[in-house]
Amino acid sequence: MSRQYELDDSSVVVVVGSGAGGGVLSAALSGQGVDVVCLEAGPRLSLSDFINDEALMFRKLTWLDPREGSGDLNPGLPAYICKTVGGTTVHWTALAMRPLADEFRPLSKYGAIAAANLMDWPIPYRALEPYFAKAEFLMGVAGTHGWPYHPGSNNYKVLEAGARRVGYRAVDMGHLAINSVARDGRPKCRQIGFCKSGCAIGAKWSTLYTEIPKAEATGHFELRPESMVVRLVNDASGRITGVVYASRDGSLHEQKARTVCIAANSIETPRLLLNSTSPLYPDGIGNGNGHVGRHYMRHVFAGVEALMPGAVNFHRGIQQAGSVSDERYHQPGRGFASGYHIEGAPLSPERLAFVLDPEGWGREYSKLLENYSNFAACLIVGEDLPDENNRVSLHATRKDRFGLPIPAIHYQYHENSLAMREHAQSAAESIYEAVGAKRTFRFGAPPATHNLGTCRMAERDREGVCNPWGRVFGTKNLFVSDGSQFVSATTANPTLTIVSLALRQADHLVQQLVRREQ
Amino acid sequence: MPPEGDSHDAARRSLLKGLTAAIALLAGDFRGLIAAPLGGGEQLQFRRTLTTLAHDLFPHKGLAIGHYEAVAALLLDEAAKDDGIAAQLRAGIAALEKGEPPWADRSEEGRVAAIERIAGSRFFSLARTKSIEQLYRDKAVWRLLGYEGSSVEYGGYVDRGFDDIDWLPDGKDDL
Repeated sequence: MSRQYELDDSSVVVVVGSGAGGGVLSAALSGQGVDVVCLEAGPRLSLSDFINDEALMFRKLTWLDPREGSGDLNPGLPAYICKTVGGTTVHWTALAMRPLADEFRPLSKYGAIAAANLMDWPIPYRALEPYFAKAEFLMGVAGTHGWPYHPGSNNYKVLEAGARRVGYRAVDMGHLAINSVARDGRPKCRQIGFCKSGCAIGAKWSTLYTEIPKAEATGHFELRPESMVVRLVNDASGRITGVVYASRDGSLHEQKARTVCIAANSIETPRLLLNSTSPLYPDGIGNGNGHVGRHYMRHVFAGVEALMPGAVNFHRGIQQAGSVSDERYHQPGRGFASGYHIEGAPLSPERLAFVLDPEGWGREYSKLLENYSNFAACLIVGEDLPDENNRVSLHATRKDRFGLPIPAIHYQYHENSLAMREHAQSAAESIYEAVGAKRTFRFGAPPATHNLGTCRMAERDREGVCNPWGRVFGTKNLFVSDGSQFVSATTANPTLTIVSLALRQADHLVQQLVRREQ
Repeated sequence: MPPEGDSHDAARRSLLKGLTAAIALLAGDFRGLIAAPLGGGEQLQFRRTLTTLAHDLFPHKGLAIGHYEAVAALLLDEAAKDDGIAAQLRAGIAALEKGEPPWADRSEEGRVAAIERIAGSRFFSLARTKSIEQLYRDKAVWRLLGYEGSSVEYGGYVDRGFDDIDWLPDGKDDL
């Protein structure tokens, strides 16, 4: 039964955002009897809103509020994330992968690297391991807890056959948080494709129809969609007393809170901290050491498309079609630190026309596109390094409709990333060539779906924004609950780690609430 | 303004001014120079030019001209809503029309050579983007390409060939 809380009810925990971090945290807290108000900037959609039309769903789901990218980013669309209930779990491709233990110790493992700010995570990997298992169970991750892997699609079979011929061994359909058997009141996957457009049958895990309704069923939870939090409110002692949010009509409201948890993704989370200035926090909350917004990471992200000698029809079936993991390990002999995955990923005709040759046109190019059925394609996802100069900051002049500075996002590739990208694209080309590719094509830098690290956790406030539980330094009752906490990007797609951190934070918060420490 | 004491200075300033304008023209950036809605005559002429341009950018055999006319309609529609876009069209088409005969009346070879000259301009990038967005979202083009699109109404691809690839080598040495 969904509850309704009063604006002046200061006993509630306010969660900002309803995606992998906020949705999971909301369900975990309310499931243990904590009263939660979740404020989500986007609207609440249902499965019937999810139609198999990529262009239309892009407009419906994507966060398109003005942002400005600089450096190596697309200026107009630096990041590709969602503004909807469920957040980016609505459009994610569901690869729920664990990082390696070593990837929590990048400084110890790779050593200091120039022009990067490596740091080991302030929590041991083993502290998260039970939560990884819990998260996999909660999300129904195929290939874990006795659930079968998904069957390989055509695009996967090309990747797999090529990878095995060049000697790779760690090749599988991947740990996908998509039902490979019916469970949790949701059906088994039907290989629809269009995972990025919202799963029309709910086979893919998304907080929109898993954690949010579960939270509502507890009687300790209220979701307020189309409620964009614009500012945190604090008293003279530094305690966060509530949040100001704009509802659909643009009017402002203040919701009181005993504790506030921000899970607004790695761009809006630091923006909210930076926009929350007061005499006590002249540079924004948690920003006493200037770390808020810094160390922005987005993974080494690139693509390879291959024209194969026969039909592939890569558009059929699960979009995230398997993964080659042999190159994820740190092998300094390759000329760069850390590693990467090669993950099957098809393109629609429109996307293929845009990226195959970003300037392509004419008879030859059009003929090439007519071979759409014969293309196979993959994405590279590799670890990029934290660099304090890659950052989310407040734009000097441009304001949003509430008069708040829009986020300015600056990112430049580290030479480590460029070396990795070169290696990864060559490796992917070899894979496709091993099974007869006639031509291969490289795709440079899609807008990031993995946005990480802008409020990193640390032992001490000199080194980061929040402590190992996600509590913002200098505050008692403000937490960061999303991928902003990441200390390093790791080689894994980030959602499983975000969910695991949210579950761990929920346990910590409940303990604190019981002991009246919150 | 003080009176010009040095005619060299004046000449230099005038030259710089001219250069700046020339660079703006070369870059196809007419924003601010001619920012006004398209007139009726322009609409007619532009419709023909843009239709032919969309075709020459992405010529697909067997695709009726109506699918390319839709690109022109899309661009003109945007120009009607945004004077900046109108100015871009005006500038880009003027660049395309340089020389004789009218661009759309030239041979394909002649038209393509003119497009090559403007490739990289803002107008070119706009025309390419809108052509892709219109054409490759068009179901007739999907059929031509073998893209099957929406599948949920057919129960997905699970029983419709998601794993039907039959030409991949089985073992290690049979390629």
